[in-house]
Amino acid sequence: MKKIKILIVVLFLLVVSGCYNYRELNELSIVSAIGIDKDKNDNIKVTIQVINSKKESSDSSQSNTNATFITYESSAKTIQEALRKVVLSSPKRFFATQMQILVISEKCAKDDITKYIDFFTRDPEIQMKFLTLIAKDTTANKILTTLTPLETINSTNIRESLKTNTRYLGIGYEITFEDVINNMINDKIEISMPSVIIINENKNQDSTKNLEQVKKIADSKISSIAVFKNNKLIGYLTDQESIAYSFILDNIENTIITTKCASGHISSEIIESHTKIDTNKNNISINISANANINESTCETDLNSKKDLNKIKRSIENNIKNNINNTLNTVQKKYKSDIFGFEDLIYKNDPKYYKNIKNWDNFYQNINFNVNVDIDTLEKGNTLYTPERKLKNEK
Amino acid sequence: MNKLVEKLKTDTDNMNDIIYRKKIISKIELYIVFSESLTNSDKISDFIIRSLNKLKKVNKKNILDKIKNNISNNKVQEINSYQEICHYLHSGFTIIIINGIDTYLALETKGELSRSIDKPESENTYRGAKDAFTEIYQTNIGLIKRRIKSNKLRIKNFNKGNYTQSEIGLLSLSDKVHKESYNNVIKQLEKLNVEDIVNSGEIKNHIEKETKSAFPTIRTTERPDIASLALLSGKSVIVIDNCPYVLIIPACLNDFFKTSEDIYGKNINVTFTRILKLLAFFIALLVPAIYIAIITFNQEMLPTDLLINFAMQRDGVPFPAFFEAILMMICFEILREGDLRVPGFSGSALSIVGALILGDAAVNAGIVSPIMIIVIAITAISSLLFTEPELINALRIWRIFFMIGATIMGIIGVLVVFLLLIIHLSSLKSFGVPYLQPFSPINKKELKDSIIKVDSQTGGQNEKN
Repeated sequence: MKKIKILIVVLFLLVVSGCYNYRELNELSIVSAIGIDKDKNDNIKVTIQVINSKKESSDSSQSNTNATFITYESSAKTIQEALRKVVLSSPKRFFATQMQILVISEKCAKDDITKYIDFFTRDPEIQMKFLTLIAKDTTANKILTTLTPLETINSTNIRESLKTNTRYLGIGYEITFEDVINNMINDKIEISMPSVIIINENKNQDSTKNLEQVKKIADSKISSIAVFKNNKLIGYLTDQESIAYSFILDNIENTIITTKCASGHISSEIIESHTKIDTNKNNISINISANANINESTCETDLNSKKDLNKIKRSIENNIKNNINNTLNTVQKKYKSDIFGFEDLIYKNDPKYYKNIKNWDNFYQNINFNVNVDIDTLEKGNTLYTPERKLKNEK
Repeated sequence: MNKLVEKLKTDTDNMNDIIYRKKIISKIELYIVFSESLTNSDKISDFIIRSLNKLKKVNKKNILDKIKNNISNNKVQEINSYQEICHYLHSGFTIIIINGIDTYLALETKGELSRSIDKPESENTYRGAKDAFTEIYQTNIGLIKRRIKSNKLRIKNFNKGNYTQSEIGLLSLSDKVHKESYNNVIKQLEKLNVEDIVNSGEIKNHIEKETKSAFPTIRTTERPDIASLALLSGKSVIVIDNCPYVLIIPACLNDFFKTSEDIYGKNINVTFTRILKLLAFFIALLVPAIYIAIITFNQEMLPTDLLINFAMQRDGVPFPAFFEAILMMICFEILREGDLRVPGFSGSALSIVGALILGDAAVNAGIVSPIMIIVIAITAISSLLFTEPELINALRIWRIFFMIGATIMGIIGVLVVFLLLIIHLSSLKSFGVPYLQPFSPINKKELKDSIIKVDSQTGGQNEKN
């Protein structure tokens, strides 16, 4: 009997306290992306992209051409204030744990990125697993309001294209907000993140018409890596340099290298690439080993001969090597930013030696890089010859 | 007129079902008494009356022995008291009362009041034996004895019920039986003090110790092969007259996952089926609760695309998720209950109403979301994998507990109720055997034939005889 009484009291407690954090799905609007800009008055302009979960008609199988996301905008001194203002125009509560991307405009990034991201590290509801990108040559607002044809929700579009890009090209790479924060906290690594641009932008175009055209009018596209120094955006790498960047950080899963030969070009696919970085005082050696497949060839070389294959191998290796050397040079001499985290590496590999370094910036300028690329195997694909040569041989 | 016959007549209010045939053999008056509805008239006229007619040279002294000797009936019982006369009379025996002699003869002349051995109805199998228990006690015992041809098979008889005088048989294999549970059952059966018993379910309710738990600690079956297997693995079986379901004692949770196919199937296939059943067990318990928890508390657990999908389906549904789930569950339970009772010809009407009204129309009317229909449907289907109705009902009760937990505290609530469930299950005992055996406490021998089946011997024990 006593037990039952206690049980009843406990049950009452649960009822009285109300349902903690109880929220029906209908009362939430799911935030898919947040964009941060700076407006004319130096206020922060926040663009919130939410999913439109309204049922269009009872027949759900019918595809609708209406937008499936809505954006809200508001400006204020802080992000939190701006978000509160947006609530006035939204019937539902914002639910940000499912946020997929954060787009920060170039302007804000050039200013000082730390000013704009404090909110996201403080709010307990926000998971720091979303991807972070820089809006290159445009505003975050524009990126988030561009309709995209393949994915109905454009933040998903950006997320997925960044993923595919990482996997098959290596220009961008998926960096979560958490990683950005980690790099920011670590004073031995400079931040870097991929950027996104808008292509084929036409200001007179009605944005919903965008979907009706086969030839795309405007779309967002993943662009190269943005380089920061002291948390300020100072420039971008080129596409080739971005690939080299991914090589150095061992982020390459698959990429294409095109090399020249006497009569044409050979495109080969780099797979199973592994990067190992060794430090020895101010000498850093970067060793890359990978396999390659020849995907396309317009050369007169005989793929059957070992000699010619080795030649191709050498040229691929040199191509990658030169690319990496150029990139290292650009980052080291032009941007003077340590986005690769070499300082961190030296500190970890040789802490005693690191203590002797007084001025890292000067030291960084004097680092000698030694890049070794080794293509282990080279697959030739299904044919040995180009079709033209094959015909000649058969005659 | 015989005094005894007079008494019988007044006691039964001269019921015209009971026939008193007067016969005189060598000037000795005797009565042949039988109940017309319980007996086979051919047996009486062929065996009893014909044999009596052939009797010669009888006197009062030797008549009893002569009748006993010459009667061509298979079962002849000497009885002495009036109570016994009544008992045998109502059991379909024919009583011979001889004037002036205090010993009476009861002769077996039971009529065929039963159906033949039929296919099992509630426990189907596609490779196992196709016979099922019937209402006749002797037939049921016979079906088991036909499978276990051993002297070790013991039957302990009880007679319970003032009016029904039901015969209860406790079967066990003397060298294999689990002693503790066997003694427990005997104690319970001896204590049993009930007015009347018609069905094995009543016995079950009276001897089951864990009355507060929704989970069954006794297994019922209508299949003789399952009953025999249970005996072989050390369990006791209770057979009750007039009931085609026998009770298997003790029954642990693991036993409800086993079917008779398990012996015929290959180990790997049996294991797969059992894993499927285990999965269904948890689906039936947890899926509605987890759905509610995710929809109302832990939205961050879902991938974005799925959440958007859910959100679009939930749009416009006016009820909270818990109420929506309860609504659909009640609808399903009503349908199931209706389907069970309804005669076959109106079954199709029921399914049309169920499928169309509850499924399609409710979604179109915006009362429930399509995803909720899916959730309730998968839950309902999963719970139907088990043959024991008590287990299905227990799952139903606990499912509601889980849903309440989910509504109050989300995933944490589900976890709390899950802990309570585990505590509850591990505190249960089926006649002295821990309910979660062989998992807790671990029993290595039985573990070989639990979820994963490895050994080929049934019951995990070596044959001794």
